[in-house]
Amino acid sequence: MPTPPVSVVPPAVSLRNVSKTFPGQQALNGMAMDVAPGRVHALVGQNGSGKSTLIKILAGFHQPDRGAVAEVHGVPFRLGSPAAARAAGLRFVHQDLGLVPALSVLDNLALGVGFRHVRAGRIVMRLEIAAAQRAMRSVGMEVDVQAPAESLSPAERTGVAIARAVQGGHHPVHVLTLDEPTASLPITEIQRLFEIVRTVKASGVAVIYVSHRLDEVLALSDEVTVLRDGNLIESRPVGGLTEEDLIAAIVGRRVQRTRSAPQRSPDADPVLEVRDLRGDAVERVSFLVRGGEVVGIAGLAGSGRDAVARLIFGGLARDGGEVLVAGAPVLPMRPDKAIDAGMAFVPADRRLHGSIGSLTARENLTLSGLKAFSKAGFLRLSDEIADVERWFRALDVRPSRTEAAFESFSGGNQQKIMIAKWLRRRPRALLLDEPTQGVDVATKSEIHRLIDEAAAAGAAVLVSSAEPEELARLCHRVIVLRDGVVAQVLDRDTLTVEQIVNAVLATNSAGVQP
Amino acid sequence: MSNTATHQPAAAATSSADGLAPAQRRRWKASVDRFAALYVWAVVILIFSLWVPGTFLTRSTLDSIASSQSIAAILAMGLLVPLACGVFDLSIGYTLGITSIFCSWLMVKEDMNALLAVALTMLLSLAIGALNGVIVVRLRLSSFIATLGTGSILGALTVWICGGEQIVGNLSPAFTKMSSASLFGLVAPFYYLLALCLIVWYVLERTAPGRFLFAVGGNLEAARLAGIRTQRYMFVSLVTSAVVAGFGGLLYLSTIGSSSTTAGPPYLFPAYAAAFLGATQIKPGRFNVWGTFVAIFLLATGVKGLQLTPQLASTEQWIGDFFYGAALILAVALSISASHRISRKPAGRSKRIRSTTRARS
Repeated sequence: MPTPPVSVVPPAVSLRNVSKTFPGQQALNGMAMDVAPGRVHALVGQNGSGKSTLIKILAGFHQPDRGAVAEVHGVPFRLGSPAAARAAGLRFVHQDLGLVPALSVLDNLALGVGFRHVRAGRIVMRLEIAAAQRAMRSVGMEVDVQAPAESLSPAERTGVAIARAVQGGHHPVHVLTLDEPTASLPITEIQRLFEIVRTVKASGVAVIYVSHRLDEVLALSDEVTVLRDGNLIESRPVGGLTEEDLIAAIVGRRVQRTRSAPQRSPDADPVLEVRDLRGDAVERVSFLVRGGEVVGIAGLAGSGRDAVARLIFGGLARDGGEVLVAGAPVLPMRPDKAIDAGMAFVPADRRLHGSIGSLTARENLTLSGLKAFSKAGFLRLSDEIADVERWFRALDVRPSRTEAAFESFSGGNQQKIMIAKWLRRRPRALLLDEPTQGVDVATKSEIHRLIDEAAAAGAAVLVSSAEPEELARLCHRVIVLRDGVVAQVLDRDTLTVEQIVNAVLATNSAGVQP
Repeated sequence: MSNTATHQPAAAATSSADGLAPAQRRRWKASVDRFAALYVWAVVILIFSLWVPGTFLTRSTLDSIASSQSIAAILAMGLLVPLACGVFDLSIGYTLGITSIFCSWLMVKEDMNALLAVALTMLLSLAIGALNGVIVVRLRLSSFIATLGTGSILGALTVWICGGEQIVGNLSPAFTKMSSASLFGLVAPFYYLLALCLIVWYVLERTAPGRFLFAVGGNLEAARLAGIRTQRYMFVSLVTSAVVAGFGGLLYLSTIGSSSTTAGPPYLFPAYAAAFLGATQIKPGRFNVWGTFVAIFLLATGVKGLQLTPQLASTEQWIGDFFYGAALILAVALSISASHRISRKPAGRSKRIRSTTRARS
């Protein structure tokens, strides 16, 4: 084997011609990337740009299309096998870290690799503690390794997960991939995580850093690779780049899809009024939604976007603030009162918060409004079935078996049933959280049409979504959240996909409106 | 909300094409499983009729099963309510025990008027249910742990009330008449059972609160987000099972004529076995009244038949426990494999069993 020239350091990991085709979709197209040892290489792109697919191929969860080439320090290795990825020295820390909160730091470090110092079946604690302390010091942390992981700060917990990933074991570690490590970190903790990442980098490990936060990318990384729609847009050193450059590369010059104009202009009077809402990741958010108006909530993970609707409806405990429907306050944590006031809420997590899997489709659809079929305490099942059949036809739910278990329907049809469940109450204020998550394109446009119709019928609609296209399609106005506060409000004139992406990704607060 | 039933002709037309509504068609397909317990029951009766015809196929066997199992079945009907809403009540056996002892103590030792004693006993069972409810809903203990604890406490109080001895004495004739009266050859407790079955069936299947109970049992947070006051339902369900167990205690005392510290606990297990076996029948995947009704009499027939066979006569003591234990395991195993078959997703596990066995905080 010819030895490479001494002056050229081979990349820690090198990818060529990596593609991935899912049925009906090219998720990744001829991706190439070199990550040098001891460098932080950022990977950026919108949802659906192919970032996650690439990471999953690296980790071995997806098989790439034929022809992909991968090398670690000049040695080829096979993509698409978790064991091969591990043997090649690739390590991954995902957003949820995979720690057991109640176990000590030491025990968490041993998860997966086991204890190193075992004599006659007994763990030699003295040696294990020393080894755990060394592992933590290798990422620049001094912690009590016998303390439970849950007693550490969020950044320190991420540090434990990183220390666990980079500790030696059977194979030397060459590449560490961090997938959105700061999404759930408070701002004050981000610097702490940066120090940890820099310590890892200084030890010669190559770091692939996946993040939506462009200020972090610019501050922490040495190189950046931009993906868009599965294609490699550019791969270059970070020096000299500005946030604007990055956003332009991420968004591209995309053809603005024509937006169906909202069918009516909003009423004058607010139906839903939110004042100084606080709770979960939301620090302080106020806004109004008028009858007939569709207002969007945009923001990155951790911005509070996914908490607003639940806080308003009573799914999450409020720390403060007021919610009014038609001028009357709605109590916190009382969905029953919210419903009485005319609110409806389609949650993002259908299995956890929306559906009762053990009940039938009919029973799920009517759960929020059984009163209509009650006469003298007696449920008139024939009325109920007739009503449900009507909704099944109106929303084209398939198969049209109202008595089948809810769980037996496909995701898109389940979501239609969840939306019908609330539309049949004719809500004054309709809250939807990721209304088209995980549904097919056809169902998606049907759901969008239903939302249009609800607004046209006079409902105040609030949609929170991670998809700028969806918000641009649906909304009269989009409220952009950042770190739990309103960073910007985009109205009709400025409401384009580019503007939403810009506002969501931008980190300077020039656009802040009170 | 307009729910004019006028806009449904399309569905009616399609369903009448083959003469079956969609729901009926589904029922027809599933019928092999849905009524399995009935067939097994028939087979059990046939087997024992051939095996021990002299003793099994008698009037006294029928009477004995109908009267002795009525109390167990009544307990099981009360138990369905908390089970439907995902809550365990493990204290029902002890509740039956303490109410029967308490009532006999009031009437025999305190010489109290029967009506007053009955009223006080029902109040006691109400208080027990409220205590369970407060512990589960306010203190947020899992119902499994909470009622295991209160059950043990009730057992201890039962011994304390009677000093560890059987309370023997004359009960008022009116009180014993409550269980000894008969109609068309069947004793009164069997009619109480039928009445209770109708009430519980009506509430669970034909009222909004019944639907909400199942919703709470299926997915607590989703039920809350549908506007259901979940804690209220959990509380009321525990009060219901305790009051029904209290009524069971009265019937026990009235039937047997006395009570002892060991009266209640043996009723716990058959009630659970019947409820879970019943959940695989008639309306599979759901705790339901008629499935439970069939299950309890199927199990009782089997136990009675085994006890009547001469070869097993000496084993009378353990045969019941053995049978009920095996039935409970079989019932839950059946429902899990059934839900595997029903579920389209390979990863689908039995939602119902998981949700009802989940320790709830």
